[in-house]
Amino acid sequence: MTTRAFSHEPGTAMECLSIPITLEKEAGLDEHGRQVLKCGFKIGGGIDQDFMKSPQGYTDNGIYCTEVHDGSAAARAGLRVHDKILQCNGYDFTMVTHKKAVDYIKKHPVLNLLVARKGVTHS
Amino acid sequence: RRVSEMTAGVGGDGGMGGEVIEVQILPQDDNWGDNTTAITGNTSVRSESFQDVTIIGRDQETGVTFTCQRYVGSALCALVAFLAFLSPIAMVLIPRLNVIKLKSEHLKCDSECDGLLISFSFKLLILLLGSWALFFRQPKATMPRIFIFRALVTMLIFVFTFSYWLFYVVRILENKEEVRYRSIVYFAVSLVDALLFIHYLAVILLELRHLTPQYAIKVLRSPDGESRWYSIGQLSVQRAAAWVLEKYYHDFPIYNPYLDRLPSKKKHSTNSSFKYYDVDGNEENVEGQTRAVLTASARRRDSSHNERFYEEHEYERRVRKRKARLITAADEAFTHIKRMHEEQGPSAPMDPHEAAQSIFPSLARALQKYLRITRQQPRHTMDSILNHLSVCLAHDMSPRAFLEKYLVSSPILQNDKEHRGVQSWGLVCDQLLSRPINNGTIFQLRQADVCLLCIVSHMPHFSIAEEIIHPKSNKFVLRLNSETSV
Repeated sequence: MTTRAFSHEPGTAMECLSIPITLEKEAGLDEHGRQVLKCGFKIGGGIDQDFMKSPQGYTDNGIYCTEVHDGSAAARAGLRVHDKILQCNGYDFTMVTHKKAVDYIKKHPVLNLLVARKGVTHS
Repeated sequence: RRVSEMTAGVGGDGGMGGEVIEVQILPQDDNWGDNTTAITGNTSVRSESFQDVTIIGRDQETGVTFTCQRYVGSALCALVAFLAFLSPIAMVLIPRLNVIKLKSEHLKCDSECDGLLISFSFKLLILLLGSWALFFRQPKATMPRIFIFRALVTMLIFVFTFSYWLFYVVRILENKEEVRYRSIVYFAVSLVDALLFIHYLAVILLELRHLTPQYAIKVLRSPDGESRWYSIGQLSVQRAAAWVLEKYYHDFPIYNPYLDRLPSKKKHSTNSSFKYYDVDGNEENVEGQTRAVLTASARRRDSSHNERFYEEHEYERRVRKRKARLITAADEAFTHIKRMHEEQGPSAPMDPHEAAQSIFPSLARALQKYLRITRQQPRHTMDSILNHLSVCLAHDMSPRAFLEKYLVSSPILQNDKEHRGVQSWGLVCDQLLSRPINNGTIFQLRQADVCLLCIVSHMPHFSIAEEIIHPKSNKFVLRLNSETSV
């Protein structure tokens, strides 16, 4: 059992501290002008991506938050840039592909996230 | 159609065994229209028709009136300019030659006056050289209306010279007591200066003004649809027409009227759509039969546009085949001839013309077939082909270089028959011919069955604005599609 959340090998067991974040999506318009529910952040990573090529220098294949838009629901909920999302609404985000992660996030209007943050949950 | 038959004989001393090979260039005779009957206005063999009279009147390229017309404008301008050139010399020489009686001390020429005389002579020399360089040449075109700028310059020269002589007579010849030779020389020098400035003005108006391109002109040739675009400066309609003709002889391909209908191998079916009625046939099937016939004829009508496509395709294929055979034949023929110092062969040495005659028969057939299929036989006579071949041999040209004259049919000057001294064209335009061209001017040039439509349009004004890309902001970020916005 490892406690290193930021160098986690997907599929292995892990135990670590995490921050619970409840994010309520707000209504907005996407690029075609349709009504969607927006969270206001960007994710990157996944087990089908190569973390060595990430410009942010991530160290494993988990789902990371790469950008939080100002004044958005995510900023108000307390999500910060470079947070690693460990779980979303019960789904395990340490071993998902990028597309699956996006689908899970878009599924429900309220997200109960468990995130790991460097310097807070881990040193 | 003229039937041209030419024969070439090859002598026996070239080691050919005394054969005589006959080469005939005959025009093709498939379906070229019914030209066995000639249509004239004659009612009997002995009468002259009215048509012939008008044709006689139209033949103006060689008459005396035409030559007069061609040169009268330039001759007049040349006369005025010549008189103007001689006037300062006359003004300086008249006191010296004792035509008018002046006291001898008035005629003394001190150093200032000498300097003036030297500058006077050099300015005259420069004026002479400048005029010779620019204006002493054959006029390029005879134009129907007067050439306004040239007339303007000539009039200026005339006015200046006349006024100077007037002042000369009034001031100098009337005041014989007080006039000094120095003032006469000053006067003559000022006339030469004025003439130099008029020369400068003439250069600007006649040579430089139309060089900046201002309009785009489209030249469209009528029977075959060839077109070209040019950029042209500010000119009058008649000068623009002369300019367009210069470009026409330089850029357009030769118009071959025989290629308007592509030669096709098979006979045209004389009946394109026909209906037949089976009178003696079975009564019950009549409707089905006529319907089948009608649909067949309809399908044949629909495929007439396909016919053009397939005919053109076939024609190109056949031309390419004969061209390939011609090139091979020419290559082989040229290998028979070697320069005398390169190889001592069994035959006697020949000059280029004899060499041409000796190798011509081996490529005559291929050349004749190629010329026949591209309908170029009227353009090339036997003599011209032999001359061209001897020139190419004399200058060590390769076989492909010799064949270029028959394979490439552009520009117009490639056709030897167009090298006449005078080419007459008719100019048709809505506006006055000495007016300048403008956006939307259309004029037409005609000669025999070739018709050039020229349409002038304005070149757009280009508004170029500076766009600055700051080098520090010229940075790039790698965009990976592994980030998604949710």
